Amino acid sequence: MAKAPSPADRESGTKQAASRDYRFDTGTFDRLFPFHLVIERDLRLTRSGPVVRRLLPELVLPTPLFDHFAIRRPQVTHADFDALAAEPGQIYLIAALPPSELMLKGQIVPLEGSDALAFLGSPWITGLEQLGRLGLTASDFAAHDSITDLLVLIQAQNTALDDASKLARQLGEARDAALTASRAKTEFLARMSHELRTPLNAILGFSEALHGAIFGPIADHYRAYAQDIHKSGQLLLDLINDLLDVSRIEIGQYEINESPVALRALLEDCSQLVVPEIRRKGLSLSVEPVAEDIILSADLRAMQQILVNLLSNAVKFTHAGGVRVGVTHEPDWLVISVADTGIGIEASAIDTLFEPFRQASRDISRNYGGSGLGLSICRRLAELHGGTIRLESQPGSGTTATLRLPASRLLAAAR
Amino acid sequence: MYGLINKAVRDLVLSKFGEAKWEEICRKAAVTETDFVSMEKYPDETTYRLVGAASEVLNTPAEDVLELFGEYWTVYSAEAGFGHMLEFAGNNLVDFLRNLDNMHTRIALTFPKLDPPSFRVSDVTDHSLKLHYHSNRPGLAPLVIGMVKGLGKRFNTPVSTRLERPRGDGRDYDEFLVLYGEGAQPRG
Repeated sequence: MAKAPSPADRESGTKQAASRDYRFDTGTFDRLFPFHLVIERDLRLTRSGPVVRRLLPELVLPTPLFDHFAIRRPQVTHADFDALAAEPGQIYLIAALPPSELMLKGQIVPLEGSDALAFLGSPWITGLEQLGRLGLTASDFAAHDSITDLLVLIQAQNTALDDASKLARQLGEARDAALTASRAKTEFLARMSHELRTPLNAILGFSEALHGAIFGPIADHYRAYAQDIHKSGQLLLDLINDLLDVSRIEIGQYEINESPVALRALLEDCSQLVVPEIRRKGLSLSVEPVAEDIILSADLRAMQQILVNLLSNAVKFTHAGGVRVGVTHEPDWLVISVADTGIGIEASAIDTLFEPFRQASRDISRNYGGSGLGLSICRRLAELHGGTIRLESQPGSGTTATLRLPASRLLAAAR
Repeated sequence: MYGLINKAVRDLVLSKFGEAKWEEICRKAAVTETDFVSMEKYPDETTYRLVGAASEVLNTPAEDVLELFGEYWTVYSAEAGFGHMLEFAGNNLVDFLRNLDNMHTRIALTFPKLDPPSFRVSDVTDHSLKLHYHSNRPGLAPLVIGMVKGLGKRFNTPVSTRLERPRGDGRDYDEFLVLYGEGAQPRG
């Protein structure tokens, strides 16, 4: 087993190493510093690195330094040998003459055992493309020279930036195309909905006339058919009206017409519309009494549409128990809630219910019908009033829909 | 592998075989995200799946697909913003191959997640050299043959390459014989 060196051995070894005279042979020096220059006391160049020789074939040595090079930095008016030797840590920028792209960056150090200085440096490069213009390749640089690594890094980062800006541009174009397509679709929907209503009015009018036998007696089964046509036509008209509302809201053409709306009358009128269905299903309906003087500044049709939709949904999905309409005041909000004891909704499905054409599940859509537009319209109408609509639900325990309207909509007399 | 490689595969297929084939290849390879980001690292498996699917869809052996890709890579990387880097690596075939490993070392410093191959050149004569290819990724030797072929075109130098000694028997590299200039043999 080797014996560990004692402190005395180590000191002796250090002294021996310090006393050794390490020298590079010329070939090794050339490989390590391919751009070096050796400057004698009389400021003549007597040696240069192999790549300098290749780049400047007119450089025949020995030759005066300042015939072929100019010191750009530090800015000196008169450089003498001692001044150059004085600051070994100084960064020098030395430009080839006549002025070209070749600029060497490095430092000037004394060469031991001689009365000469060595400039050790490499080309000052700011981009890989400059290397090509100077006629330099990777073989011209020493491995320890990190300038080329930095250039590769810069090149890679530039590529990454190009990539990122290209992707951002593509993303922007895709978004613009999607917005244009969406706008075109909405406009088409609005135009078609409008066009569909005209013939539908004729279908509804004539089917009603047939059912009422106002043009003379008809067979009972034809009257029944006329009634079916009328019912189906009415469903179709409701759907078209919803579509028209959605498209108007999407393209920003839905304008709310604000007027004073009495809250009590609004709740009573809307509740009345679901009373027949409440009775048919054997459910209960309670509407919290509200003061007569609560007046809202709102679009009456929009408010009716929201409340009728919330009430209709509550009745539709409730098979036992009932529906309760409540009104509360919060500091910044007037809160109207419609709570039912119906089938409820999975929490994960609640958000999707507010997206157009979405229902809680395919089963719901199949068993209960509906276009899936109602809640989406209600939310947008509430938002147009500065309000919100939220659903809270537990499957099997019922659902509470809450409409919040800004308290600022309460007219001064009622606040 | 970095997204740049997958982008090159995509560009190769799009330019030579069209969009329908590329979509079919992506479907078969179960690759859904095809807007590759150059400097983002993707699983090697994605690239292997794309090459495998390309082989099936184009009814071409995977080795030929890799060789085609290797040849295309020299063109693509120059066009994808690395042209100056390629110029920097050398202005003739031999210098370029000699600098190839240094270039990959520099790139590895830049792309820390990269696991680049390593190349060594030996036995250089006026018309031939041996290229030793080390890689942690299996099965990519045909890509090297294509790459050297592409470099021959880049430097306008006739070149033929053959795998003389595949890795194995304790050797962890493939050894190629590269014949160039007057030494190049026309491929039959």
